[in-house]
Amino acid sequence: MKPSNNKGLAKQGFKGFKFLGFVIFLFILLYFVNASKTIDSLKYFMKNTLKVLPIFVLVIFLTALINYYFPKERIGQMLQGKSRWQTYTVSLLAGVISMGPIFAWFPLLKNLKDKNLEEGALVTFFYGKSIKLTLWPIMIGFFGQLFSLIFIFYIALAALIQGFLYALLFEKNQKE
Amino acid sequence: MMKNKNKPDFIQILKQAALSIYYMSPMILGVLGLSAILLTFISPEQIKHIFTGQPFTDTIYGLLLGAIMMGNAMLSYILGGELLKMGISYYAVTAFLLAWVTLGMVQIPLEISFFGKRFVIIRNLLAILFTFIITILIVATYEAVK
Repeated sequence: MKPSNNKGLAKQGFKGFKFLGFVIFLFILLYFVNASKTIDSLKYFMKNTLKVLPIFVLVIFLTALINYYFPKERIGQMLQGKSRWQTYTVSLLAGVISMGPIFAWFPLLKNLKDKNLEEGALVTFFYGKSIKLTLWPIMIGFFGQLFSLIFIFYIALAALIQGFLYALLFEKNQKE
Repeated sequence: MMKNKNKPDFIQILKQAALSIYYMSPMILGVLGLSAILLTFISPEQIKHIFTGQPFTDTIYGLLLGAIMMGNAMLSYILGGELLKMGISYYAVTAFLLAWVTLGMVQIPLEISFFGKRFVIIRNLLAILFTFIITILIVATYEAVK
C-alpha cells in the first residue's frame, strides 16, 4: 500500500452521512412520540459509544500492523508455487490477513488464477476473508472470547473444506 | 543500517488506518444510534414473534437478514451484539453475522466480470450451504463448552 493513499481516502470522504441524518431525524421524531423512551435511547447510545471507542484504537493499530507487514503484492507472492496443501493453507491465511473490501482484491486474484492458481484456493481465500483479524477486539467486546474463538475456528475450517470440495467436484484445471 | 526507501513509513500507514475509521464514523454512529432506538422501543416480546428460538427457522431468518445487509463487518458485530441483548437466539445472530461477512450479494456482478458466472454461482451456493451448517455447529459447540 502506498503512503499517498491518504489523498485517496480523503477523496472518498465520509461514509454514511445520509444514514446518520436519518437516525438523527428518527430521534427527533420519536421524541415527540415518547420523550422519556427517546432520552433512554440517547443515554444508551452515549454509554455504548463510550464503551466502543477505546476498542477502535486497537483496531486502527492492528490494521496498520497488517498493512505494514503484508502489503497486497507480498500476499500475491505467498500464494504461488506451493503444493496443494500449502496453497490452500496459505490461501486461508492470505484471506485472513488481507485488508479492505473484497472487490479490491479481484484484479490480483484474477491475475493469480490466470497463472494457474486453482479456483478451489480462491474459494478458500474468499471465505477466509470473512475472518476479520483486526476486528477481533470488537467481536470479543460484543460476544466474548469463547464464542469469538469458536466462530473463527469454524469459519477457517469451512473455508478449507469448501476449497477442497470445489477442487474435487468443480475444478476445471486439476493440479498434477 | 540503510533504510529501505521503497517500504512505506509505518506512521503513514497508521494514519491511513485511522483515517479509514474516521471516515466511517458517521456510519458507525448511525448504527449505534439505530440499535439504541431499537433496543429501547422494541420489546423482547415483539422480537420473539419473529425469532422464536427454533434453531432451523432462526438460522434461516438470520441468514436472510445478513445476506441482504452490506457494509463493514464491524457494523454487523454491533448490530449482532444488540440483537443478542434483545433476547434473540444465538442461532439467528450467528447466521446473521456469518451471512453478513460471507455472502456478498451486492458485489456479485463485479465478481462475475472477473471470475465468470460458473465460479461465482458455485462459490456463493457453497457459501450459503456452509453458512447454514457452521451456524448450527458454532452454536452447538458454544452451548456445549460454555
